[in-house]
Amino acid sequence: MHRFFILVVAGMTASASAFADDHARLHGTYAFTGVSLCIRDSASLGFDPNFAAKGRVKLFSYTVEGIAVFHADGTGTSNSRAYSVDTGGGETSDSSFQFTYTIGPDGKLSVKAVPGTFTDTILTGPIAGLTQVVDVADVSGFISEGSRSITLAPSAPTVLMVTRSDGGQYAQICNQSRTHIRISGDDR
Amino acid sequence: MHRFFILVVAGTTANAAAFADDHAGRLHGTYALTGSSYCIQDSASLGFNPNFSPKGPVASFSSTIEGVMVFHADGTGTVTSRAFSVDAGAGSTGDSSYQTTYAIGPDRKLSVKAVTGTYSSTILTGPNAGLTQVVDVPDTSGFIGEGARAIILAPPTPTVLTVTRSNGTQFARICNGSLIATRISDDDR
Repeated sequence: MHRFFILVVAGMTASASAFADDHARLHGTYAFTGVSLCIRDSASLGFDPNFAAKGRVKLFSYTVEGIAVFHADGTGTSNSRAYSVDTGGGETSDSSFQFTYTIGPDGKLSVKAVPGTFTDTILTGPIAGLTQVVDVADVSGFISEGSRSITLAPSAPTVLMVTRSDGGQYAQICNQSRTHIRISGDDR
Repeated sequence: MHRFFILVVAGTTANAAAFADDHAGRLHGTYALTGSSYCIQDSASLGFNPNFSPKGPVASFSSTIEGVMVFHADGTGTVTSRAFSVDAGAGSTGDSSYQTTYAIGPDRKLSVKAVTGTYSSTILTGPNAGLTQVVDVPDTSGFIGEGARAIILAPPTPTVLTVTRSNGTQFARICNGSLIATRISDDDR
């Protein structure tokens, strides 16, 4: 009977360690969704240092759904579909990029896109067929117990540049909120 | 001692099997649902072009939703929810419900469709309080989390949705969306 309790306690400790390890390093495949609201200006005008637009802006909302893979070595990939709506119509696009992540001593997760890895193709809407490169904002957030879910959001405004295959260039500021749920412990 | 291990292994296997069944074939349970969407709305007589640009001036609004989504193992389900919409003119709430069917693909991707003719909605507050309306519900697709504890859903492509109100007005709208559902019970009654 004593051996039974020792085994149970040992099992519980091992399980707790696994969760702790999960927190130190993530590994797994997560589905994510979220929303953003953006303002966009021409790149030639852009924004003041206090993030006020220098010209007339277009306001748009987009929602996103996709898959993020976190590897234990601190790298990862994101593949998603965005659905954007503004007064000019609705459009969807598929994008992907690589990222690196760190987990602070307070358990806070920080995620940064790897420069030069972003690709995006516009699928539907008035400018379907164009491709674009869009800066990806740094985001940070929290990992839930057992690493079953993750929340992420940008902690400060950032001016993000957009460069389209038709030569159009824009500057935009977007808030965002993302929730990730683990769909597999596999990170391939 | 051996019986203990047999029980533990049997319990673990049964638990894993339940999750596997949830993923492989069918969901069953009650999920709390929340999310948000942003819409543009035109009069139904104008509507949208095939590339989803509006043919006339549009109103835009944001809505958030909270509700309960039930999945039955036979591939059917129900959604009951309250939406809270805000635009430049006002805020309003409405309660809606409809039936669904769902399918889980070989890639474990979840697809959910509203059953035609089952949607009902009553506007509770705001300038149109008291009206009822029928609103097309877009198809959504998404992913099932480990152990079917959570589900995310979103419309994968723009769809023009028709709105018909009890005062005779009709609108066409396009809405994006992001929904997350978390299991609150295995019960699907």
